[in-house]
Amino acid sequence: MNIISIVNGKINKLDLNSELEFDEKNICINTISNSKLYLEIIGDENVKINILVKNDTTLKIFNYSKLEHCSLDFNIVQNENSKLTMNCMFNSNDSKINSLVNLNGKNSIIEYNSSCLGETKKKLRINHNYSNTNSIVKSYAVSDNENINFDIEEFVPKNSVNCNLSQASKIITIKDNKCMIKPILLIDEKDVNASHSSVISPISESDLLYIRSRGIKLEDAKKLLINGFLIGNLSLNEDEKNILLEKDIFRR
Amino acid sequence: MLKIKKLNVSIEDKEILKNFNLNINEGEVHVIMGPNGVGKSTLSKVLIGDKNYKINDGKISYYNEDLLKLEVDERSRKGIFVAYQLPSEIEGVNNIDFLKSAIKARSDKQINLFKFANDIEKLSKDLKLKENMLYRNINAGFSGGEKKKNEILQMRLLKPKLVILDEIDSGLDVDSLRIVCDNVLEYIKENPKTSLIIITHYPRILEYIKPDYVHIMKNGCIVKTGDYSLALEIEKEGFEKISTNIIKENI
Ligand SMILES: Nc1ncnc2c1ncn2[C@@H]1O[C@H](COP(=O)(O)OP(=O)(O)O)[C@@H](O)[C@H]1O
Ligand SMILES: [Mg+2]
Repeated sequence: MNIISIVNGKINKLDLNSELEFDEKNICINTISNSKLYLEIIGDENVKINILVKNDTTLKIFNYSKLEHCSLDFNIVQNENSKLTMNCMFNSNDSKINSLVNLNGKNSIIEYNSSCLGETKKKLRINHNYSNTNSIVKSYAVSDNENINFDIEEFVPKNSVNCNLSQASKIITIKDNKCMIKPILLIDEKDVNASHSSVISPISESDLLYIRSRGIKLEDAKKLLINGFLIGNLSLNEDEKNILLEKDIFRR
Repeated sequence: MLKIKKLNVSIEDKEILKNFNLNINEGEVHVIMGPNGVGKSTLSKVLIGDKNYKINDGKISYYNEDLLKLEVDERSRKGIFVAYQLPSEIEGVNNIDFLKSAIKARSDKQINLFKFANDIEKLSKDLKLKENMLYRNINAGFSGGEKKKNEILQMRLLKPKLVILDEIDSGLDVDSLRIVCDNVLEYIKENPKTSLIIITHYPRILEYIKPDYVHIMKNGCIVKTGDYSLALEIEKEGFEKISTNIIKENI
């Protein structure tokens, strides 16, 4: 697998094969052929990452970010018949995560799954600039004592026909706090399929009870449920899951 | 091992259990029968410590300890196990991680992963559960029967002293019922001091697991106690007949 690790705004580790083209100065990642990338971003410096998924290529990104009072920007462009899958775990302390996606070619697909923990403002904008473009966005978060804001906006201009948009957002709150989900669908074309769901709810008491009734202590039961919610809802393989479990994200 | 005395329980200001009494000794099999809504599942929830059910009065002692003072997870670690009538489906948490945590919670020592894997494999074979179920989310997308088998797998793994089977037989086909009962019997054979409360509507399960006592519940408490033959009588006559007899007896 390809690896890019950025710590405090600087490249810390780089291990890339010929599937990807990388411009270190501007942090630009371009696909040459189908590839997988582990992207790790840690620290308190603002980081901007540019991604181009070229015609007829797929890119699967598994991202772990631990952000302290900073912003992380993704600027993503996808060409015809491209597919980008993002599985992101954002461990954020008062940080902003902005993603701009331009689907600039027919049949381009983005699948954007993310899980957030901690004070976060997350903004995502997807522009369906061409026909037959698809987006599947799943945004999850757990708020212990922090405020979490999701702003998920998608735009379909006139003449971008037969686009599919699907958004699902869910935030679990542990204590009373202010969380907000804003799903915005700006659609200027009739021939489109769009759906969205937004849920903000406390941790399930009946789930907790079931787990505790097998002898697992309250704190461990919560941890199991929260890790399960955050990690289990990303589409990761066992190795990738273990990378996150080792980070022990819940005990921050 | 278990003494329930004058227990009064309500939920949302509705009294469910009224003056409920029951004593159970080690190694005994008790059956509780009764019409829908009489409070059978309430009893199992109260025994495990579900805080939604309010205890207004009464005492439960378990091995001479005040059970009502213990938290849910403590009760489990001290050997109480409920196989739920409707087990929860939990998204995101896979069965194996859950079972591992449950085993870990019972010991200060590091869990022996090799033994754990062997135990789990053997138990799922005994229960004829597909092995991939262990790696799926807890009960997510399981059929009714698979959920019940998963409860029994947990029972055998966690080795409880007091087992409450809440309608374990509902939603099971004949073959699955036999498998579940064989597993319960195997467990009791290995752990003969285990006490069992079987909550059921049908005497069919009792053809496999022979009860020491059969109790009939009505209006929030036990109104009649007998042996296996009482269960057969209920099947033939229904609860209504039995209750009229009792009213006459009381007069
Ligand atoms: N969580 C609950 N909230 C409100 N009412 C409940 C709840 N659980 C049980 N009840 C009510 O309590 C009564 C007893 O229920 P239950 O113990 O499940 O009966 P059984 O298992 O004997 O069929 C029923 O009338 C039921 O509607
Ligand atoms: Mg019931």
